[in-house]
Amino acid sequence: MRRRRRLALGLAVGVMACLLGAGALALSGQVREAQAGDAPTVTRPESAVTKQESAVTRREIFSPGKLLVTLPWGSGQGEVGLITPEEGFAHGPEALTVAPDGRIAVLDSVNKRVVCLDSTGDFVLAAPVPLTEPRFLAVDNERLYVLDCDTSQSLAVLDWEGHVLEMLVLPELPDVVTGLFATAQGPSVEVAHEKVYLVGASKALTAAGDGSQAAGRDVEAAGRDVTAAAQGVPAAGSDAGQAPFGAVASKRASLRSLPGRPLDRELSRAVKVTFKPATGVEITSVKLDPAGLSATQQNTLRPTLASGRALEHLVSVDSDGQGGLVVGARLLEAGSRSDGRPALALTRIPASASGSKQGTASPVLLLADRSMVYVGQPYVVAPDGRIFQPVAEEDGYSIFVHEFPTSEQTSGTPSAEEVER
Amino acid sequence: MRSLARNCRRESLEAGSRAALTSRMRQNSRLTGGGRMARVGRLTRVGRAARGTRVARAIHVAQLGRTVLAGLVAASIGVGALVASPSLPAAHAAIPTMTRAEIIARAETALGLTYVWGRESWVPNAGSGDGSDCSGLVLKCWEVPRTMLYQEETPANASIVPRYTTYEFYTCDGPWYALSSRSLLREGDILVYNNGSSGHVVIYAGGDAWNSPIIYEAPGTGLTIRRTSRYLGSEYQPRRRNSLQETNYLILDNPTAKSVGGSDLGGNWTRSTSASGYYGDDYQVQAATSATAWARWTPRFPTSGYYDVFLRWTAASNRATSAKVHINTATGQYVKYVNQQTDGGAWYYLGRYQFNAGYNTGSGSVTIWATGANGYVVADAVMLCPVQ
Repeated sequence: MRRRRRLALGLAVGVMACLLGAGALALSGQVREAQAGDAPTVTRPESAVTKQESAVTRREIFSPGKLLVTLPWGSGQGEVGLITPEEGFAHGPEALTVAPDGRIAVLDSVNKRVVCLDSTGDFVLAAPVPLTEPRFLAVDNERLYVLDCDTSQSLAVLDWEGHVLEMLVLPELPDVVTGLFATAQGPSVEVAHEKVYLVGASKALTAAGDGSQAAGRDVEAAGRDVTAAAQGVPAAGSDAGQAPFGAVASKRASLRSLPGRPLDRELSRAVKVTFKPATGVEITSVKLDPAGLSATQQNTLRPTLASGRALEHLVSVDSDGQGGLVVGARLLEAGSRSDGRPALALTRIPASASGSKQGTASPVLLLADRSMVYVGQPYVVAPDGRIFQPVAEEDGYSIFVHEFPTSEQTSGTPSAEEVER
Repeated sequence: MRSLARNCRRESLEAGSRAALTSRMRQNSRLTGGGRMARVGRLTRVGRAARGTRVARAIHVAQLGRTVLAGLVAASIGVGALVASPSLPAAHAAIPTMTRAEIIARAETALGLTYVWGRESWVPNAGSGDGSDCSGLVLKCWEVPRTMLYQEETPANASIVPRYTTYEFYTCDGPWYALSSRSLLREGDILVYNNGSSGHVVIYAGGDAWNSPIIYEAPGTGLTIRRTSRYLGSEYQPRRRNSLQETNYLILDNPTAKSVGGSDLGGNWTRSTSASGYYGDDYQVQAATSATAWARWTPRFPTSGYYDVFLRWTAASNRATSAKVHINTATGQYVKYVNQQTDGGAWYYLGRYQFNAGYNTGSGSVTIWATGANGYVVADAVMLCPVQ
């Protein structure tokens, strides 16, 4: 009797297991089917999942994003430039950024101008910038900062109406520029992902460049270049819809060191980040005294990013707009443009988790690498926490918007684009 | 005439003479099999210029010698393994051994020059003028398919066989191979993409932890060659040159020396293999002259600090007994005189000097002069070892 009962119990467990397995298979089949039309299949490198990690339940959401706008390729009104040489650097706009009030600015590097859009993506104006090779762009509600770090280390300051307000010539920097940020105290420049400097104007340069008294050779050269450029780039302003600018005297900039990459305009928070594929990411959050620009408190996090997936590189660490962080990384088995598999994993670490050394994270947002040529950073985190992804497509430069799900959304049933693990 | 003959010989090698290639491969194998590295590791005891502090220096050099020897022996094992890799096609194996420091130093000399499509050479340190295209930058920095003279400047689309483009770099059709991950990149490797209709290649210089590595690149028409940083997407794949000598020391061979006042192409001093004991494939030599004639090595220093500086030459009775050497440092210029009739085939210790991080010919270089010398002056190689 007892044996029969055990047999029956065993059979029941077996049937249930089979049913569960079939259900799981059916679910996964459903996911694949649903994704075939709208979004690329989310693949899971099983070999990379350790036993410990497989026990972790974290929802991954493959986000195709919502198309905000497509700016056609060209040099006319509402268009942006594209260069695709046979041998060489193929690129479109090199930077995209969003102001706190939602306005959007695109650095149209090919046409040497900034294309300004309203928060819905409608074209407003194109502002020419007096720089030889504009590379970086940062904005707030009042100012646009554009940096040429490759030919002159010069920074143009514009307003949203396209007027060039100021030209700054940076001192010789210790290495290459890797970032530009807008703060209430002016622009700040990140060098080699290690050092950050707040830029301020210190001294006017004359038309002759004032080079004889310059501290470094490169600064002298830059001074001449920028002064000449500021007086001699008239053609771009002639197009309809583009704002004019006059000759603006250059000023030599001064630099003040910051204890990390700034996270907000008020300069109240900054981060120092290290990443190694073997050990992961380590983020030291720094509370700043905006007046003295000194660190008042530090907290180090070693968050788990995209659990179960092997990461190759960090991409960026930004504020999520609510006191937390958004950490983006490139997957080791990143998909390419042609296969549409995910290439980037964005993890949000809410403010409530910042005290935890593990940095408890919300669902992971997976993005595909869809751009056919270089368009700067693969995504940008807006001040409100939305993710803006620039994509170079055949017909133009598209901006897709992604959002992390709210807590209500994450507690519901997984959608076709979500993977529970 | 002599240089012409040498150039002709080089061309015949590049034209694909199998016998010549095989012979060169054998030579490479012999060199990397121990002969070459044994010479690399040998350090001179004390030079004439340093006799005032002979005892103290001798102790220091002996200690340093052990360190350098150990490091280079380890490096030689690595080089041997690379050269002997069975997967390499025979036609791709015969390229000179290089250090990563040499690749980076060469890339630095192209900064500021203008991108010219189809060009693979430039006048080093010119600051402006015609440069190369993106693949040309790699060709000269990697010394593929040939040991191109440092000052050599050939017109665009010159006949170079084989002429490597981003397609060959991408498909590994040449003396290089794919890395399994970008996290393995080290300075001097490259990142390349080619989609069949367009392509680009850059030299990796560091910092890929953020996926926007520091790179050297010739971006495109109208743009200048630069050291910069930009995000490189998944389409950029990592590649590594064969025959790299892995070492933390900054070793620059004579092909990576800028020389002026010579009679070879572009003012290069004359290449020679007549005297034994040279580092690499040959050395450069220049007769004493009253005109301006010097050879200068400029590495890119990865970090600021003190470095032990060594110089190397081949000795002979017709050499200068007091060839002038300038060590241009962060604290000024120092002058040494070396007797090149002795201490040949060894790393001759010039002293310990302070250098700043970065590339600066004025405050981070070693120059040897034939001007005013009393015999032939040899420029073979320089080695700078960071002091821990």
